[in-house]
This record gives sequence, C-alpha cells and structure tokens, in this order.
Amino acid sequence: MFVRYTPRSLQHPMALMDDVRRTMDLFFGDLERPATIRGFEATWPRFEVEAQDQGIMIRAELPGVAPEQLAVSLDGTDLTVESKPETKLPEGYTVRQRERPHARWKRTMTLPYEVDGEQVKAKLEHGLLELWLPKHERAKPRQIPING
Amino acid sequence: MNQENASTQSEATTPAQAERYWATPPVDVFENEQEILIYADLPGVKKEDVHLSYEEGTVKLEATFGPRTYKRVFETQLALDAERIGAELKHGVLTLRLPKRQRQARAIQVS
Repeated sequence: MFVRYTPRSLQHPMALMDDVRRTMDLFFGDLERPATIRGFEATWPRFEVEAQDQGIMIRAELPGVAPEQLAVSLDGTDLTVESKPETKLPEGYTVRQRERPHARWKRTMTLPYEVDGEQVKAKLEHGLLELWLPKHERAKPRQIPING
Repeated sequence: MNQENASTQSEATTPAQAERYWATPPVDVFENEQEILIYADLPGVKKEDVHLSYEEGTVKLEATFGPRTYKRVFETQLALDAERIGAELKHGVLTLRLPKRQRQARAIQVS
C-alpha cells in the first residue's frame, strides 16, 4: 500500500490550466502509462501548470530524480517530460515496505501558445522541477496601427 | 479548489494550520542482517530542515518545506546501534540507515 503525499498544486489552486491537466490525466492515465498500478500512475507525478502573460511555468515534485535522469522535449507546442526515478532495489536486502512510486513515466501536454524553445529554462533541485517556457514573440499580442 | 483533490488535502496554509496538518512522506523500507534501510520522499526539503530523533526503538522524522511539514515515525523491536544511525539527503530523498546492534556470543568459562 502507499500513502498519498500532498502535491504542491493543492497549495496554489489555479483555474487556468486545470482542465488541461485533468484531461491529460484522463487521457494518458489510460493510454500512455505502463500497466502497473492504475490510478497511481495517472496522478504521479503531478504537474502544476501556470500560464502567465510572459510564459508558462510548470512545477512538479520529482523526488529521487537526478537531473541526468530527466528528459524534456518540445515539438511545436507539444511538451514531453519523462523520467525513470532511481529506485533500484538495494542488493541483499529484504523488502519490508514499498510506497514510493517507481515506475517510468512520461507526460505530454499541448501548450496553449507557442513558446521560445531557445529560452526554455529547466531547474531540478531538491527533487523539485521548475520549467519556464517563455512565450514566443510570434504568440504575443500586438497593436495594429490603423492607417487613416 | 480542485475538487478531486479536496479529500486528500493536508496542506497547511497558515502557521496555525501547520501545527495541525502535515504530510506523510511515502517510504521504502529494506532490511538485511546489518541494518534497516529507509528511503523517504521529501521533495523540496533542504538538509538543515530535516530533524531526526531516536529513542528506545523509535525514530522520528520531521521535515519542513515552506508551509509544509512532513512527519513520519518508525518503530522497531530490534535493538539499534543509536550511535551509528546515518542519514543522507539527495535529490529530495532521505536515506536513513539504522544499524542493528550486533549480538556477540561470548563463551563463558566454567570453573
């Protein structure tokens, strides 16, 4: 059995991208995940997606994931984040309890607007991922001069 | 508030609430002849914010990250070597090693 940990997203309820995330969970929870424990995979890791004026901030709790174990890729507006947490069984030990998630995971989402792939910043520290995807110049609103 | 999450919420938002609410970190527990090995997920926690104590077979773990408190207690009937308990925090995961006290058979001379 596992004890559910409380994701950061509860701390910052945000309405904007909630539907996107829920749809993601519904979809990929069933199609993309390896057939391990259903429902568990669909909710881990949780991503907090915040669409701001200047870009999109994505935060996730990824305990046990080293920077070199994480892959982030961008194809147009399709963002993919994947990893396999480091949960190798220590050799010569008897397992007494296993609660930590240990499956390979992959999350894909479609961003609401085009971002500047060159300026994307990813930081993984103390098991926390911060992904900043700045809005592309092309996607920014502009004033159109009226000739009269 | 996200409805689907409401029932699992235990996040503290004020200092007063932090007293009453805490998160239970998921753990993996392993054992061999020499020790009990525990991994606990503590995302966001820094080394200085982890507090561990040991008393009579009970190890208490308490850690904080922002307004969040993680708490977990481990109990064992085994005799532990308290002096050699070791802990390491890496990538938001705490590794806790609880060495068993080694019983040494001693031959008793009959006179």
